[in-house]
Amino acid sequence: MNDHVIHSLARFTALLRALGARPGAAEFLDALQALSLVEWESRREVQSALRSTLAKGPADAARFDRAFDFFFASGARREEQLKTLEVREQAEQAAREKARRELVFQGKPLGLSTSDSATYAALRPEDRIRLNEFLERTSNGLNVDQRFLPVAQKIIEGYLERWRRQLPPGSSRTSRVLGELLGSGAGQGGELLERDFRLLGEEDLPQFRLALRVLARRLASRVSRRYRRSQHKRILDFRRTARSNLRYGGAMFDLRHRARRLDRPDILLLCDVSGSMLPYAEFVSQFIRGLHDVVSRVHTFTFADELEKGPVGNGRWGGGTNLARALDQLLAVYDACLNPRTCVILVSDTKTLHGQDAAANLQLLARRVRKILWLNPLPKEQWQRLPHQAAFSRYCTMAECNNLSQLECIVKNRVFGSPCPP
Amino acid sequence: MELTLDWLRRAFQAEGYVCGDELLVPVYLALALQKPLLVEGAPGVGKTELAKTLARCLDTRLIRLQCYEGLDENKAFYEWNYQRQLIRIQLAGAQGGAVVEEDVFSPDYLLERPLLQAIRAGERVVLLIDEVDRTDEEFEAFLFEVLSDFQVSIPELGTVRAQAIPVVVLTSNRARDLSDALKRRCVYLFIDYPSVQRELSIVRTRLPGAGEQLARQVALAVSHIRSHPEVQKKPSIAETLDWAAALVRLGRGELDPDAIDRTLNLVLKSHDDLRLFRVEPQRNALSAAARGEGLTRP
Repeated sequence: MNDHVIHSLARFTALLRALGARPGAAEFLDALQALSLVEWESRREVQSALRSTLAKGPADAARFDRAFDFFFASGARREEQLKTLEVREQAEQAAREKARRELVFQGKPLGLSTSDSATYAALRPEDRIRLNEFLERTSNGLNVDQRFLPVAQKIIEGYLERWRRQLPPGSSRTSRVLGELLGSGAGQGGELLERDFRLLGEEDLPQFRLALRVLARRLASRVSRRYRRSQHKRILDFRRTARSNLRYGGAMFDLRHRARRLDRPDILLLCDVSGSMLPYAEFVSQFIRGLHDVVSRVHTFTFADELEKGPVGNGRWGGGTNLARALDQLLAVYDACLNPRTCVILVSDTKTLHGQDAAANLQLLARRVRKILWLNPLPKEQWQRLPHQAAFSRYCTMAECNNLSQLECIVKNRVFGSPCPP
Repeated sequence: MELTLDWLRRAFQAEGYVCGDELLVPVYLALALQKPLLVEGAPGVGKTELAKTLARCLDTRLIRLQCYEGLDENKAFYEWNYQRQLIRIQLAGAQGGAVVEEDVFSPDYLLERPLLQAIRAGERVVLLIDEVDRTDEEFEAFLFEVLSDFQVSIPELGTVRAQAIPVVVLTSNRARDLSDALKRRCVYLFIDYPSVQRELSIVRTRLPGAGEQLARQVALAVSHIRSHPEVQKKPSIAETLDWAAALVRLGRGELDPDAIDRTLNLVLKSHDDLRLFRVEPQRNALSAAARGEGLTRP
């Protein structure tokens, strides 16, 4: 294999990484070997060979195909693509310059880094206005002079850093520019994954429902899978072994083992359908439907002022929240649904009346069931401002869940075994 | 025979497995590089059939390990035949002889499970590890140890090495994500639902009795069903073939609304899906799609 080919493949692999795929060194070496086995005259063969060695999933394969078309384009098309890339680069540069001009403190620019300026340029207009208003108010504050500039700069940098962390992987400037150029938008699926449940449009719903269904199934199988395995080997069941071997005169001929029991707990779904949860109505409804579709033994309850059994109807949304009363009713009336095998999934924003009573009832519920997983659609930064969140967190595993990506994180990180990472 | 892509193409064609180069090239690479082939895709797109076809093409045995939750090394790899060992010990005791450890821990007392069978086969077999996504992550880790070296250690017997490296095909329905470590060791292939043209070729190949018009209409109708956003369980290729076979059996030459109504349960296997296509606008749309009038995937 000549150096030029190796070099080109290395650059192509780097492009895939910039787009969010994760081909490692082993995959790179496999791809080189694969290239030596196919006919280079056949574009399709080369593409298939590289795809099967460098892309290890449907999402990666889609990225791969777009990157392949871009990287191995014909001369004229390549020129055209590079020209578009150049124009976009210039536009990005101009946006960064504009950001530097806009973010000023008492007439002086803040001196933000290139990445901070790029993050600012990518913000929604309303967020940019908010930042500017903050700077303007701070600039005109009482006894505020130029010495406060580093303080204001730190605050703005902190805000931009937090925003940047919320960006999906592979949404660095390079991948975004390339993603747009390749017509992928860095993967539309990825964008939907990160979108807040409140911001879902009508056109996103079919894709959203499918994704949620898959995640609900995975969550259900995660919840029901037993992770604490005491023995790797099979355990001898002495009582049954002794009994079944009586017929052989006591010779332990027929060994009986304890079956590795697969724990299939009941799932109890408790959803808040009060007015404050209205923006998340689509998520809650689809989540209930998704779980019902894939798990047969799921008890569903909804609550606002009162507890109701069964999935939510369209007319039921709204009203105040009284979790204390709902839990009271659950413990009193639906006692039969609660046992040490029950896993409770509670979907609510924690905004409720009688928070202390609700916490006390939650404690009672926690004693009756195996685990309570609380999916909170509010962003984690707001949790400190919620009066009862800390009290509730003592008796359950609370996880932030306002987009599909977070739900996926909950599913992947086995919240029922260990806490979800921040 | 010399392994070439062209040979593989002809062999698959001869076995009636309809596919394009995007599927053949990864299979060819897995064979040439002697790496496991990881095949992912929705249920019923032909993953298991691919392994069976490969075994027929290579004129070799297919050894299948069906995975399930809770599968452990004993079921996948080997077990000692305890009863036989016990009888041997008792017989020796009755005859006044003694049994040494090597006597009862010899290959005669070994119960080989699929992984060990494939390693000790003595010839190049096809090892199908089906629905690997159903196993625990712990078993997956054990599996890629075996797949990287094609050797295993049995404490009482020593290390067993494969005399001929088996062709390993792992399939997954993507019920869960497999580990990067396992993926890294494999050549990856994702099989999507076929296009209308390819599905038509499959129906023609597998059901020569179905007329051209019926085959085309079934392929178009199935494509329409799969592209519907509210369908919960998309029909597989096997279900397409079942549907076409049923229509042939009923003597239907075309897919009219009445035929759809009578046979829809062969292609849709959930109550919600059936209800969706039995109501008026959807049934008519399906019928129109079958005639090539509706919106279908190219």
